[in-house]
Amino acid sequence: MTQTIDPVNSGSQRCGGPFHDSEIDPVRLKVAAERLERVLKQYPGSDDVLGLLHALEPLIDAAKAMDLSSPMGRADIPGTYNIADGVYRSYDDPDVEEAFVAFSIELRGGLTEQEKRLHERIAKMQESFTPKESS
Amino acid sequence: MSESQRCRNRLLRRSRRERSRPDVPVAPNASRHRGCKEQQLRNVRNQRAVGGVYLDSTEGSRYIRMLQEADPAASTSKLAERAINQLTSGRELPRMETIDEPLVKIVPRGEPVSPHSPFFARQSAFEDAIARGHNLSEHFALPERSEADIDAQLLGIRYRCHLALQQARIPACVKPMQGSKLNSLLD
Repeated sequence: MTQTIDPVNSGSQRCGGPFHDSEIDPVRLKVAAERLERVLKQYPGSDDVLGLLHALEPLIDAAKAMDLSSPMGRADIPGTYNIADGVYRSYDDPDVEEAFVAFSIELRGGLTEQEKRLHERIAKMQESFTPKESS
Repeated sequence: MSESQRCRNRLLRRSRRERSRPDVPVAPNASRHRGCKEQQLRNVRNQRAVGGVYLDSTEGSRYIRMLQEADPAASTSKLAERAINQLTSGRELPRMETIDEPLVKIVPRGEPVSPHSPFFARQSAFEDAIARGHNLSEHFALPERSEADIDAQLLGIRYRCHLALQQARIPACVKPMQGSKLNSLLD
């Protein structure tokens, strides 16, 4: 059973400042890194997941040591393309994509205001969404 | 240079080395950042801005809705990240277009196509890139993982539908199969 963490609303408060949307919160990043590592290690038989763990290991280790302070770009985070390509979609219990997303957000310095607005929009769309019946 | 900067640079170098390994997944255009914090911040903001403007548009709303329809159980965070990652990983922003030719997915040789993949090229664009001798990884912004041994799989269904719609509904409407003609181009 993995712990569910809301990457937006849980954990410590972010620092302020003019570029607060791009500041890493080391505590939240550490929590996300530990969770991601735990999730990835639940799939020892998957080359895809082991490859992701291997690629992310330096970043996970540094995050756990609270050694990262500068945010990374989305495309610089190993695994981003494969996540977008749906490679890990079937590894959902525990959920690899969810854990990666939380880690990625923290590694990028948290959600920007624009991303927060996007989350709000999607949440509203989800509330009003009725799945179409398949024919 | 401070200790934290040295640490970060070391990590980035190590991370880049990992990306060149054949078994490691990697994002396209991965080596833009050069260790300068201001440059990193600028790049991070630019990257976010491009996807954000599109997603704020009517087309963007439609794109999000289709992502949602493709996976109604996905969390808000996952849908938002899928939308942004798909936009910032591709060569171009999605556009609505009626097509009447097969799409091609380029993958490492022997690997299956992810049934959830949103990244495809037109067959004609693929053949044109081959004929012109383009580096396929660079031309199609593929991850380095695909560079060493590329295979092409042809989606064997001819159809007329919107490209963006199809991107969101690949699992439902398309089954990949081996494309002998395209593979022969790569041999």
